[in-house]
Amino acid sequence: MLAFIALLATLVPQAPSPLPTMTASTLPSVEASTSAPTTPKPTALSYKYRFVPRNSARAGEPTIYAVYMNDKKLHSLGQINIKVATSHDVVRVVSRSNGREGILPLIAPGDFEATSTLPKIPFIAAGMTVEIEFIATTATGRSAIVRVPVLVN
Amino acid sequence: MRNLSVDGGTLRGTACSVATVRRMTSLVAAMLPLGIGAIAARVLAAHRPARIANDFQQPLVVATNWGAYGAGAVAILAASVVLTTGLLVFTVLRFRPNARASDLGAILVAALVGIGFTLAWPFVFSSDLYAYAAYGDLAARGLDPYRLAPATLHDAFLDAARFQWSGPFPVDVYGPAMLAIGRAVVAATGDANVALTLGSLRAVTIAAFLGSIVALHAALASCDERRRFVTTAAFALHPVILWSVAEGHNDAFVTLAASLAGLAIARGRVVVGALVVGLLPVFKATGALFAVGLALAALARPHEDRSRRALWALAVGCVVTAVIAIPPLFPAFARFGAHGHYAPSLSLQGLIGPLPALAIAAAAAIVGAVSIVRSDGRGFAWIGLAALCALPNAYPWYALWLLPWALAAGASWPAIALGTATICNIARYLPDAAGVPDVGMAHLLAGISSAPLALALIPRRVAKAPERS
Repeated sequence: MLAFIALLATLVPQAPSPLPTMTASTLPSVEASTSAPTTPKPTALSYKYRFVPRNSARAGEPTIYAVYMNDKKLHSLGQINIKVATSHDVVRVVSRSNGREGILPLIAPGDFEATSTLPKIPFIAAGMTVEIEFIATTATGRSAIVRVPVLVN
Repeated sequence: MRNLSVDGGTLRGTACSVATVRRMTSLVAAMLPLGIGAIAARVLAAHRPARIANDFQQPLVVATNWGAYGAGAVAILAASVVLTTGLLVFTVLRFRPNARASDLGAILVAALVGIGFTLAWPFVFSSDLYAYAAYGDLAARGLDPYRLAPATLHDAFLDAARFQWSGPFPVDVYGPAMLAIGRAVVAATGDANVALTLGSLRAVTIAAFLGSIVALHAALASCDERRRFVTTAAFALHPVILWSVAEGHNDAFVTLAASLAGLAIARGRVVVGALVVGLLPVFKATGALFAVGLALAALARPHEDRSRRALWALAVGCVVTAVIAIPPLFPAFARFGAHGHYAPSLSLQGLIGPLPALAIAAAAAIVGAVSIVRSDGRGFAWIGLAALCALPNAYPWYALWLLPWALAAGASWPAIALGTATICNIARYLPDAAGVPDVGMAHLLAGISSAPLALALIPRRVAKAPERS
């Protein structure tokens, strides 16, 4: 159980200020996530895993349309690329697991992306499926949550 | 001018060819909204938001949960389909009085143009083609596509399918003939080029559809030329069918086999035709509906020798199908039993609930069966309506096997209801392209999709006006 909790803690890109390992893939600063978008250029990263939530959208509520990752299977010390596609009213996306959070920088309206490196994952966790939670929040505080299953190795 | 000086035969020939060109031009013009829609869709794609950029990097772009942008894409398609339908009805009714056998050429050209327009769209609304390729790939590897693909197994086809379905893609639910087609296309196009394979699957589907048009027209040779023209044009140029064929839906293979079976029966080869109808589910389970129709039609004339032969051949075909097609599906049934979710959406079931909708379907089936046995052709449309009411999700491509029931019924309100419903079912793309709508919007869209069904209840004497036209 402890190993599992440790695993969850290591899965989520950490977001101290400034972030030591997470960078926006088009290299805006971390502050870009809280300011108006200045780099509306889509990334050239390849995402092999797309998670499309099937919950119904409510009028006036923020929406997470899809979460893209470089792979569904994540490797210890490997790279993790994340892109979260949201409705335009979302100003902040946070990834969360086991109480720890990481902020995904805003690249363009509705487009939040981050690249990070995973820490060493305990061998006992290999083959486990865990969920990463993504919370999209608007300027008025309304939020939408999506949980994405990933496989760790 | 030169033809005016020659004999009357040449004059008649020239007038005939001019008329053919006019028909062809008018039928092609009816397809124009699909082309204009393609231009509008390309403009929309050029202004796509950055958040869906990665979806446009896929071998075949599928509109998936794109929010308002996806709703806009569906709206363009819906407008194109409605306009095409209107123009098509006008054109077909205009040329109906002077229909002739040579109209098949004009219909085929118009169908090809319509398919060309739909192929020009920068995206589609269904991921099914990815699944067909993945099933063919699994079969080529000696694996069972009726079971979940091993998560540890990776190649271009499997990973492309997984991208579409957020991970594991559904197990195969089609018959062995469909699997053989997918496997052959994957083998012919190589093991890594997903775009080429998907394009080839679409090409094979289009070829099957064009073949079914020719077979249908030939099967109707003994019919009144006007009915033959209307029936062939309504099937071949139905905009939702054209779209579905261009998307590569395998229902086109069921339709081809059914058309060939109809041709065999029309030419006196009743046993061959009935046997093929019995075998239709080796492509897809929906083929069984044609077997029901043929059985009812045979029961309408129980004392005729060909009816008895047809029933025997049909029974043999059904038994062979049960032996070769059902056992491989057991793992798929087990998976659906364990993990399947019954989720009606944007259908009559979604609107009023599964049980009331199934009760209506049963009533329609009884009306249809009794009508057919009493030699009332409208019964075929009632059977089609029953199938539609029994569907939890009335996907647009079901038009490929639903519309023939309307066409078999001839001009009548049940047929008009079924034909109109196959157009309105285009709304079913919305939840996949834009996202699951809230309850109110879902009911509104289900109401729009289901409203045409009420046309079937118009009494027959009121329907005499369209019958005369």
